[in-house]
Amino acid sequence: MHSITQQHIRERLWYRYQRRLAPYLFISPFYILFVVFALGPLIAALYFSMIKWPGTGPMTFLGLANYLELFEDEIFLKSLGNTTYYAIGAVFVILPVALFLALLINAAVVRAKSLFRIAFILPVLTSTVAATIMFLLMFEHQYGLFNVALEAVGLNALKWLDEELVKLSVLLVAAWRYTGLSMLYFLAGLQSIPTDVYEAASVDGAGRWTTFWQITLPLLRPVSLFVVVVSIIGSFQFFAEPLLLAGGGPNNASLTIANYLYRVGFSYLRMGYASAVGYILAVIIFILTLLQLKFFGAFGRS
Amino acid sequence: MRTSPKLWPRIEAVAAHLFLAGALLYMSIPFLWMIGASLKKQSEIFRNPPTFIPDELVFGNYVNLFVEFDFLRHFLNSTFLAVVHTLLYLFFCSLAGYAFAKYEFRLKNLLFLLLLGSMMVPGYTLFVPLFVLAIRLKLVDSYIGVLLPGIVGAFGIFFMKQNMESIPDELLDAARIDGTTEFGAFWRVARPLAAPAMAVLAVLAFLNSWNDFVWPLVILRTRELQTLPVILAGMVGTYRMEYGIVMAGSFLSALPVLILFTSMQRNFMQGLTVGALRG
Amino acid sequence: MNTSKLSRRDFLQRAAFMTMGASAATALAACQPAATVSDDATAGDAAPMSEPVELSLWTFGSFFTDFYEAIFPAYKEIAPDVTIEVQEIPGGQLFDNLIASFAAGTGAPDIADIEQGSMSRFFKGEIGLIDLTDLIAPYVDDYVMARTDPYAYLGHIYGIDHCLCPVVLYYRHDLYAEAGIEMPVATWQDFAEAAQGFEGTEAAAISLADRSWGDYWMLLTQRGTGGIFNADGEVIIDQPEAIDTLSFYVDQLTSGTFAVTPSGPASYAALTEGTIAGRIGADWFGGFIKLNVGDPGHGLWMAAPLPAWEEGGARTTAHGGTGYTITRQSEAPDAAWAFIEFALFDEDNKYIEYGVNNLIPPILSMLDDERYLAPDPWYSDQSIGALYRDLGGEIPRHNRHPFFSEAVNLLSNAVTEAVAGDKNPAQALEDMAQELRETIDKG
Repeated sequence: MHSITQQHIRERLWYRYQRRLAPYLFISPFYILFVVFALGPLIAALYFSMIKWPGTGPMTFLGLANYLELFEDEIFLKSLGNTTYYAIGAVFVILPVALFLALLINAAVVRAKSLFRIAFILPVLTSTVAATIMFLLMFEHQYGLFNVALEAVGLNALKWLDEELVKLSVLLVAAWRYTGLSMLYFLAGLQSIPTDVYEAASVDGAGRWTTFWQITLPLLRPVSLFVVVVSIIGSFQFFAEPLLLAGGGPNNASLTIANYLYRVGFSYLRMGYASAVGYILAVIIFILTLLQLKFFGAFGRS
Repeated sequence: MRTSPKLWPRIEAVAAHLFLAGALLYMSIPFLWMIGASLKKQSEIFRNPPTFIPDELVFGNYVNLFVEFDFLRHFLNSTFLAVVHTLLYLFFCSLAGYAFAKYEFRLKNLLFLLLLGSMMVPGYTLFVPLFVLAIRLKLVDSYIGVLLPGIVGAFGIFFMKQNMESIPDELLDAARIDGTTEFGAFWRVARPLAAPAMAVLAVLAFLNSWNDFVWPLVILRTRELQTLPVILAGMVGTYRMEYGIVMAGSFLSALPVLILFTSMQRNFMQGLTVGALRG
Repeated sequence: MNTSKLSRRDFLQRAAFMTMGASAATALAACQPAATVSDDATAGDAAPMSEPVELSLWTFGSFFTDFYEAIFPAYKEIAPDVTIEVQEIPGGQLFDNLIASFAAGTGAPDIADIEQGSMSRFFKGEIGLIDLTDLIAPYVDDYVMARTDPYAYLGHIYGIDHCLCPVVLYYRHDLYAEAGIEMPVATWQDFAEAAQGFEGTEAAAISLADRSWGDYWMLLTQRGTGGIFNADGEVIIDQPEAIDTLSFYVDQLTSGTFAVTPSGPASYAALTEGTIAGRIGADWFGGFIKLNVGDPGHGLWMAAPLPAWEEGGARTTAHGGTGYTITRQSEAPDAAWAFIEFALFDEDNKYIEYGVNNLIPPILSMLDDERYLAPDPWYSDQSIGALYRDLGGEIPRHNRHPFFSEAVNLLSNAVTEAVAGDKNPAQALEDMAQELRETIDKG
C-alpha cells in the first residue's frame, strides 16, 4: 500500500517533470549546435567588424570606425537602395502572386493540380548555369524573347540590362526562381485550414471575397508571417542572380548588399569592413523582422 | 444581357487555368531548355531565339558524364547525404517547432528571437571563422563534418512552428489524459497532423542538402567523397567549357528531387477536417 | 645549359635531386652547366633515399584535374615517394578557401592554381605565397616572362602561368574581304580607316564584349605602358596613352567600327548569325568561338595579329591565365616546385595539357613542334599555332598591385561612363585615378 502510493507519487512527479522539461529538451539540439557552430563565429565576426585586417598579418583596432564609414560609403548606400528595391518587389509583388497561385491551385475547380505544383518547383531544380544562359538570351536586345514579345504587341524593344532597367530584370529572374517556393509554403498553410470551416461559411452564405478576408487570411496568419519574414531575410541576403545576370553592374546598378559584402571581404580583403557590412545587414533584417512579428501579433499570444 | 448562373463559374475556371498555364510556361521554360541543351551539340546550344528541340539528337553528353566524370559515385554520395540530412532535419526541426508552437515556457520569446537572429547574419560574414572551426574540430574530410552543423536549423524550426500553431490543443490534451508522454503527444498526434508541412519541409531540406556547395568544399578533401554540385561546378571551366555535359548533369541531378516531390504529392493534399480533429 | 629545349631527362635529374630533400637553391645549381647531379644519375638511383612526401594541390576546374591526373603516373616514376592529392574547388570558391586558410594560418594546400584575376588580392597583408623569383630565374630565357606579370608585385614573382594566352584578332575572312580590308593591318589608325568598308553592312569590324573593361584592358596593355600601375606601384591610368586608348575605343564605338555585342551566351548566338565580323581575344577565346559556333562557321574564320599602336609596336597582349603558386604553409616547398617544373617545363606534359585544356604553352621553343603548328581546318586551314608562336615574344609587360581588384572595378565604371558619354575619356580616367589613389592611401 505504502510503496504503491510512493510509486504513484513518483510517477506523477515524473509525469509533471517531463511535461515541464519537454519543451527545453525539444529545442535543445538547435541551441547546442548554435553554441558549438555559430556562437564562436558570430563573436569572431563581431570583433572583426571593429578592426582593420587584410586577412593576414597584424590587426588594427578601430572601434566603430568601420560602421561610421558605411554611412559615407556611396557604393554601400547604393547597394542598400538596390536591395531595398528587391525586398519591396519580393514582399509586395512576388508574395501576393505566390499566394494567388496557391489559392488557385487549392481551388476546387482547378484540374491537374499536381502538374502545376511540379512545374512551380522546376525553377529551383534548374541549374544556375542553364538559368543564366537562358535569361541572358531572353534579355538580349535584338532576338531576346522579352523584346520579341514586346514588339509583337506593338511596343518598343527595351534595353533590359542597362542601368535603368537592370533591377527590374533581376527581379523578373528572382520572381521566376522564388515564386514557386513561396507558393508551396502558402499551399502547406492552406492545407492546414480545416475544410469544414469553409463549408460552414458557405452555408452562412458568405461570398468568396468575404471568405478570403474573414476566414482564409486570418487562418493563414502564422504561415504568412513565416513567408514574409523569410522573404525579407532572403531578399536582404540576395546574392546570386544580380551577380550572374549583370555582375552587380552596370555601374553597380544591380549590386546588392550581400554582393558588396563579398566584394569588400573576399576581393578587396577588407575583412573588418566586410564584417561591419554583415552586422549592419543583420541589424536591418532584425528590425524589419521585429516589426513583422509585432504586425502579425506573434508576441503576447496565449 | 445577363450571363446564365452556370456560365460564370466556367469562365472563371477557364481564366484560372489560363493564368496558371502562363505561370507554368514562365516557370518551366529554362528547365525545358536545359533538357534540350543536354541533347545538343555544343554549337547548337547558343541560338537566339532559343531552340528547345535539337536538330540533331546527341546522347554523348550523358555518356561522357558517366565515363569521364564518375557521375554515379557522386550522385550516390549526394543521395546518401541528402537522405540522412532530410530525416534528421525533419525530426529535430518539427520537434523544436512543436515546442515553440504548443508550449509556454520561460525565455520562450527571447530564445525564439535568438533563433530568428541566427538567420540574419549573412553566410560570408561567418565564412572565415567557420573555416577555422571546421579545422579545429577535426571535421575535415568526413561526412559527419558535412552533416553535423545542419541537422537542425532555424528556418525549419520557424516553418514547423508556424504550421503547428493551428493544431488544436484539445487533441493534445486528449492524448495526455490517455497517459501519453509529451514526446508521445508530439509523435502520435502533432506529427501526423503536420504532414502537409512536413512534406514541404522534406522537399526543401533535401533540396538544400542536394545543392549545398560551399560547406562540402570546406569539409571534403578526397574527390571520391565529393558531392554532385561540386563536380558539376567543376565542369564550368574558365578557359574551356562543354555546356552540353553540364546541362546533362544538371538534368539528371534534378531528377531525385523531382521524384521525391512527386511522391510527396499525396501528402500535400492531406487537408484537415474536423472529423480528423475528433480523431 | 641547354636553354632552347628542356628534355624530360633534365627533369628526371632535377626532380629526383629535389625530392632528396636538398634545398631549392642548391637544387637549382643542378641545372647550371656544371651540374651537381652527374649526367648518368637516374631517378631510380636517387629516389630511394628520399622521405615520403605528400603534396596537396588545389585547382578549380575539371580540365586542370584531368591534366594533373594524366601526368601523375609519369611523375610517380621519377619521384616515387611523392604523392599528390588534387582537390578541385570550383569557381571562385578556391580563392575564398585560400583566403580563409591564410587567415586561419592552417588548412592551405602546398600548391594552388590561382586565376590571374584573383591573384592580386593576395598581395595584401602578409603574403601567404612563396616568392618564386629565384626559382624562376633559370628559365627567364625560355619562358615568356610577361606571363609572370599577373603574379608579381614590386619585382617579386609569386606565381607562374600555365599558358601563353596571346591575344589576336579573330575575324570572318569572307566579311573582311567584302569590306575590302586586307589583313593583317599594321596599326590601329590604319584599321580604323580600313574598317569604314563595313559601313552600310549589318556587321561591325570588331565587336566588343558589352559592359566589360576587358577589351579596353587588352588594348591598353598592348601599348606596353604597364596598364593601371607603373613598376613602382603608382597609379598611371590618367596618363596620355591610357586616355588616348580610351578615346580611340569610344571613337570607334561612336563611328561604328566597333560595335557592342551582348556579353556571354548571347554573343555566341550572335557569332553564328554573322552580325559579328571580328573579336579580339586570347587563344582560349578562339577555342570558345570554334566550339560554340561549330559547323556553320567552318572555314569562315581566321586569326591575325592585332594592329599595333605604332609601327613596330607589339601586335599582341595577353588575356586571362592561371598561375601555379606555392603557399607558405607548405612543409615541402621544394618538392612542390619540383612538381611544378615537371608540369610546366616538360614539353610532353605541356602537350598533354594542351590536349585537355587547349592552353598554349608559355614557352616559345615548344611551339616549333608540328603538334601545335598543324593547320586548323575550322580556321580556314590556317596554322593558328604558328601565329601564337610568332606573337608570343611580343607580349608587353604590365604591372599588378594589391589594389588591382579595386582598380578594375573603378576602371569598369570609368569605361561605362565614357562609352555612355557621361564623361569624356580624359575626365573619366582622371576621376578614376583620383579615386583609386584615395582608396590606396586609405589602405
